[in-house]
Order: sequence, then structure tokens, then C-alpha cells
Amino acid sequence: MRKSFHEELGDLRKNVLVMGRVVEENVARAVESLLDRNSSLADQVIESDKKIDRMDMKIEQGCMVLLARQQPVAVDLRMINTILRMIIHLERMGDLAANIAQIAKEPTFDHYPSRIIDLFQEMAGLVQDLVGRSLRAFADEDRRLTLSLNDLDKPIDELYHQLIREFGQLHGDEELMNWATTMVLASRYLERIADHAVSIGERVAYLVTGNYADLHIVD
Amino acid sequence: MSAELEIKLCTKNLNFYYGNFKALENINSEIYKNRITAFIGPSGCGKSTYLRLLNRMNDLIDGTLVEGLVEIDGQNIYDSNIDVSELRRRVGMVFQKPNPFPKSIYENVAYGPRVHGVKNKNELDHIVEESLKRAALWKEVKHKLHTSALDLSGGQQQRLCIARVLAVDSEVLLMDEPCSSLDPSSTMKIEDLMFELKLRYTIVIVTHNMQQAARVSDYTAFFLVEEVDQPARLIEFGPTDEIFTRPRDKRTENYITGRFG
Repeated sequence: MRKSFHEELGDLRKNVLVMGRVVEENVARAVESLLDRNSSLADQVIESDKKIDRMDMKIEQGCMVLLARQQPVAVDLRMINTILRMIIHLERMGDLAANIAQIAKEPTFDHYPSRIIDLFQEMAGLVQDLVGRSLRAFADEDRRLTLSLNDLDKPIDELYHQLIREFGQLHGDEELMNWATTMVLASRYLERIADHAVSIGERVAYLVTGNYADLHIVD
Repeated sequence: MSAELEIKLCTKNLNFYYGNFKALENINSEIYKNRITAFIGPSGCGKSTYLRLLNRMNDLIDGTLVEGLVEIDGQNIYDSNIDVSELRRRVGMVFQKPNPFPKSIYENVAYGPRVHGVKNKNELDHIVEESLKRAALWKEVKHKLHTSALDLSGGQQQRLCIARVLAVDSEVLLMDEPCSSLDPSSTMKIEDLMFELKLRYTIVIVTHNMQQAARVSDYTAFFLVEEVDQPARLIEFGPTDEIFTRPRDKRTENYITGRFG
């Protein structure tokens, strides 16, 4: 009986990794669809987000059943707790990616300042790297990797603030300003995705050590 | 729960032998007053043996030897000047199978006080009522105190055995698998009772049921025999909240998560 419990817990863990891969992919595709104004790719991201929502619910149900039937303790309890917390972050990250994809579907604007796009692209690259690392930290239960995530979030926050300053200095017609508004939002979504990835890292640190001191509040 | 912990019982460098066989090795532990301490571990890990050392029940087995100290309120219970029956009054035991005497409910509870010299009928009545109330059995039996204790259900018999210990003004209750022969609702009654009793008493419970240890105890001690013919050791002792969420020792973790044992 216990063996099947650990198998079921292992399956849940694998499902989280699958969900994480879909989220990771959606973040990348959302950014790509925005930069290329590729509306069919954006549609795929939005459609795929529904899949993420379904996975979220299915994993949560699996956790509830294991809690009710097995009363897990120690590392097993921490794993279930980590999974329950992680899927909330992953689901939110999926929503944020879908929001970015939604922006990609809006009317395009050709005369944008390339400096802003460069900064956005740089930020997107760092965010994707951070997301990938947070998921790897979970897959490998690698506490050292989790410790680096907070530091990796700092340049993202700096780029975000730099972008906001750049937007603040823009002057132009309504078309430019509309474009700028949506890009401010997209930058904000990316910045939030990074924060969720850092939170996942903290959860993984707690999973590994059982020490609540490993949890910081991400602002 | 108050933050101050008072040590009621403790053992220091305790070894225990059955003949030449060392059954327990170097057990150092503290049992806190007005707390529930659970002993857990696989079968044969020494937890019941250790429990029985705490009121010298193992004295009844020939060829046993105790090394080290077992103290109650700072006094070694294996000192030669200790009155063992007085010790067992202070440190009472409840067993796995309820073992009422084949007498009336009243006589079961009154027996101990009588042995300890209480003769006055009113006083005995009072002790019986008070003990049955504290054991959460009074309401169910007050109208039939003089019927046979053997007619009670298993759960009621177990609470009667608890009342019997309380009747002699015990300070510590040692419970050896007190619920393993009871159904879930009787088990819950005993567990609820333990919560009430710990306000007045110190409780030590041996249980095979890990969920029960997690539910009822404030502190948990994990015992283990690592290799055949080796003595049992205390592997980890700590607040139950910690033992069941982040045990420090890998062996504790493996046991409580069902990875062995």
C-alpha cells in the first residue's frame, strides 16, 4: 500500500514537472508572439493556458486525495505542500504568459523605438532563464540552485525599472502611446513571472530543508 | 500551552539487559510534566521495554539488569530505599488489552485506594465518582456502579482502567498501546480524554499507530533496533510538530514515511 502511495506521489511530482514545462514553453512563445506580432502563435498560447488550468486542478485533486487517504508526514508532507503551493505559482505564470499573448494580438505599430524592444528582449531572456532554473531546482531538489534565484531576479527588476523610465520619456502620437501602454503591461507581466519563479525556488528550499527560514517574502 | 517545561521523568545513560542480552543502550531522555510523550518505532524496538522501566515493571522479570539512572522528580527510582508499590501508585500503567478485575465497576476503582488505606465509605464513594468523572466514564456507568465491569464495552473497560489509575492519585500515566484493541470511536474518546488528563497528569504513550502519535502527543521519541541482536536505541526525540514535518534523522524520516519498518 505504501509503495503505491510513493508511486502516486511520484506521479504528482512528474505532473508538476510537465505542467512546468508547458508554462516555460508558453512564456517563451508568448514573448516570441509579442515580438513578432504573430497572432496565431499568440492564440496557441492562450489555448494552451486552458490546459495549464486543467493540470492545476487535476494535480490539486491528486494532492487532496493523498492527504485524505495517506496522512503523509515529513518529506512526503513537505512534497505535497510544495506541490500545492507550486501549482498556484505555475498557474499564475501561465495566466501572465496568456496576458502577454493577448497583447501580441493587438494592432501592431511599426515605428517603435528599438531601444525599448532591445531592453524588453533582454529582460525576457533573463526571465526565461530564471523560470527554467526554478523548475530545474524542483526537479533536482537542488537547494544551492534555489539560493541563486533571488540574485538572478535583481537584474530583471532593474531592467523593468529601466523600461518604465524609457516609457516615461516617450512623446508621440496616440498610436505610439497605446503601444507603449501595452508594452508597459507586458513588461510588468514578465517581471511578475520572475517573482513567481523566485517563490517556487523558496518553496523548493523549504521542501529540501524543512526550514521556514528558507522562505522570504518576495516583493 | 505554557512555555515552561518541567521535567517529570528522565533517564540518563540507561542500559537494560535481559540476562546477557543488552536490550536498550544509552537511553537519555526527558519526559515533561503535563505533556503527552509518544514512543514510536517498529515492533521489538524497545519502546514498551523502556516504558516498563519507568515504573519498574521489568523488575518482575528474572535476570534483568538496569544500568544508569531513571529519575522521577529528580529521584532515582532504582535506589534501594524506593518503595516500589508507592512508585507504581505514582506512575500507573494502562495496558493494551483492558484488564478490569472480575468485580463490579465500583470495586475496580475502589480497590487501589483501599489497598492504600482508604477505609471510609464516603471517601471511597467520592474517589470512585471523581475518578470515573475524570476518566469520562461517570455518565455512562453512574446508574450501574455495582454491575460487573466485564459487561462494559472494550472502550469503557479501558476508561475504567484509566479511572483505576487515577483513583490512587497517580502523577504519571504510562499507556502501552491503549487503543489497539478499540474501535475508532472508542479510540477518539480515549484520545480526547488524554487531552483533558494532561492538565493534571504526565502521560507517556506507546503506540504503533503513527497517526495517533501525531494526533495526541506533544513530544515524540523514536526507538530503533538497527541490526538483529543489537540493542535498541533512542534515535530521535523532539516536539511532535517537528518530528512529523522535518525530522532531523534520516532513520526517523524513513520510518515515519513508511519507507521501512
